[in-house]
Amino acid sequence: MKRCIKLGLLFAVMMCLALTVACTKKQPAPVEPTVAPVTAQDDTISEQELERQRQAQRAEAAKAEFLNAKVYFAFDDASLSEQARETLNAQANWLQENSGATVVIEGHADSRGTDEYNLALGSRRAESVKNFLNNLGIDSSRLITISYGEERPAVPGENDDAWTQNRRVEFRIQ
Amino acid sequence: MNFFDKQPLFRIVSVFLLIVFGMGSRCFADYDYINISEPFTKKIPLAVPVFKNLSGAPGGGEIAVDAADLLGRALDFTGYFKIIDRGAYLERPEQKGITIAEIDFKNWTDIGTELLVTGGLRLEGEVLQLEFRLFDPFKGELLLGKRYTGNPSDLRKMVLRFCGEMIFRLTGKYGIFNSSIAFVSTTQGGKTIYMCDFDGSNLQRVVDPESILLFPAWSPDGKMIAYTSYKNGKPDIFVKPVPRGSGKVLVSYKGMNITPVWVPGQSTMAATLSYEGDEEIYLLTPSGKVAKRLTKSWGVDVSPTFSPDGRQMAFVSNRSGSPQIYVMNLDTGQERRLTYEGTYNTQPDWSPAGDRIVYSGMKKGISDIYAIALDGGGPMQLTRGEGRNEAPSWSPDGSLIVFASTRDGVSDIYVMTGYGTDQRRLIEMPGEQTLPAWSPNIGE
Repeated sequence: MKRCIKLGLLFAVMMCLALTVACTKKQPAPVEPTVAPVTAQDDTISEQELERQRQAQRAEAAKAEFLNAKVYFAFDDASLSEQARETLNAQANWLQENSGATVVIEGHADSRGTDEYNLALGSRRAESVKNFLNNLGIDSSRLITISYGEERPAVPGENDDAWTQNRRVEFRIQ
Repeated sequence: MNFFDKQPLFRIVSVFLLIVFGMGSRCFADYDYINISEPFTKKIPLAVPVFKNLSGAPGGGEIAVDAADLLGRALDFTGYFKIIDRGAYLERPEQKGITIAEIDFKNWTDIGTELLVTGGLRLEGEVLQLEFRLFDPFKGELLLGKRYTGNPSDLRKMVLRFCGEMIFRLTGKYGIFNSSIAFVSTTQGGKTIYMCDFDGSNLQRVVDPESILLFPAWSPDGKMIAYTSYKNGKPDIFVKPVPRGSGKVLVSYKGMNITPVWVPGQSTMAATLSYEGDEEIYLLTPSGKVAKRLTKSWGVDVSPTFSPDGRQMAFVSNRSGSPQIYVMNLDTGQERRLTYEGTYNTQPDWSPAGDRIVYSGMKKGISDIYAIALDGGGPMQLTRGEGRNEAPSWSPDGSLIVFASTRDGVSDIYVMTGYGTDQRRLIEMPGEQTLPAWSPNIGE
């Protein structure tokens, strides 16, 4: 009994000391950062957030691809090549997925030839693209055309390379 | 020259031989592709001595030189004359006298002068009086005499008025001296439209910079221009008084509104519109509304230009597979194709003289200016081997053509006679100059 009491007293004293130490401490001891326990619910949120971010990035990339796409044409021609149709199929897909978007289809011509005829040619190219997209199910109210003729070349210069790159249709969002 | 003049038969025969040799040997390097019997191949030797300072006023001496120099340059511009160098003169009218009694015509015929213009001036305070006399030295005759009064700042006006009278006396037409040329110029920040007098003087900007400006065209009274601008985000037709005034939208249908042109002598216009889904040419009311559709073919129909009587229209169509020039009779609606040579013929302009159409034809990516007669016959090539040449426009009397050429590197404005001679640059400007349009004579 006496030993138990002694041990008990010792324990109590030690506890008091510990408490005193704990209670009189003015500055908190540096605490190791604790990791909050990860619950199942937290898992879902961050995964959703990451997925949202991934989706946003994919959407941005798809939009950028849509806006950067170009359709090219032969000299004095507004008909669509096989390559052009492929590009336009992809464009139509994007437009299906983004049903709120209205697109401006810009028609251009190379610098050979005369201003007025090239304006008409650019217009024909834009219309050609518009009709193709329309036939793929895009409502024509979402497809606006404009021609810039030879007035806005993509590539300056009077050579085959520049001309080839300037005979084009480009897209922008209204 | 003496011998030639005294033996007219010899003169005729030698000219004939010259023509035969000229056609055979192509010895006239500048003209080897034009019809040698046209008016610009034999220029009339013309003398324009310094004017006489009749009142002896100080400052009059300078005006005497300026007036004569301006007169010489303006007449030289027409392409009809070869101005004789003053160093060759055997007498000086500014000292000896300017009237028929005071002139020794032998001094002029000896140096081959076929026409002589003398001038005199009286300067009294702010009043300037100029008198002009046109002589035929070989006949010893006075052909024309005029006197004008104004103030010293009217010098150019008075000289040009006499030029008009002189050309009328010689050709039956008043020429080009009251006309202007409008054109598109690139600057930093976009495009502008400028105008200048027929000879490049008095250059001034008439439309401030915009992103895209095209196709300036003159009203029949020369007081307004129409043009296409993308100011509102798409190609619309604007009109604007010149030189000062603000541009207002006139034609703004869905799609393109381009190549405006006034019908000669009327307030109606025609233009190319695409609002019905296809580029077609329409007649418009003065307020810019569609009055009548003129072309009805699938394909591109663009660039209308009218005959002087307004009853026919030439235009460009690709209905045959490539752009070619067609003529439509506006009374009957009948159309016929005009150009059969070359695969790309555009930018027609109908001569105010009525008989020819000038246009640009492109072969292998290079454009040149051609003229074709309305009554048949093949095209005449007017430029060759000198850069790209486009957008020709006739002077109001049908004698000269203004066009754009890249022969000196960048596109600039050039002038030549209607037969391709005397090709020269009109103005020096930075940037690119394109799409010139020659106005009617203003204020006749």
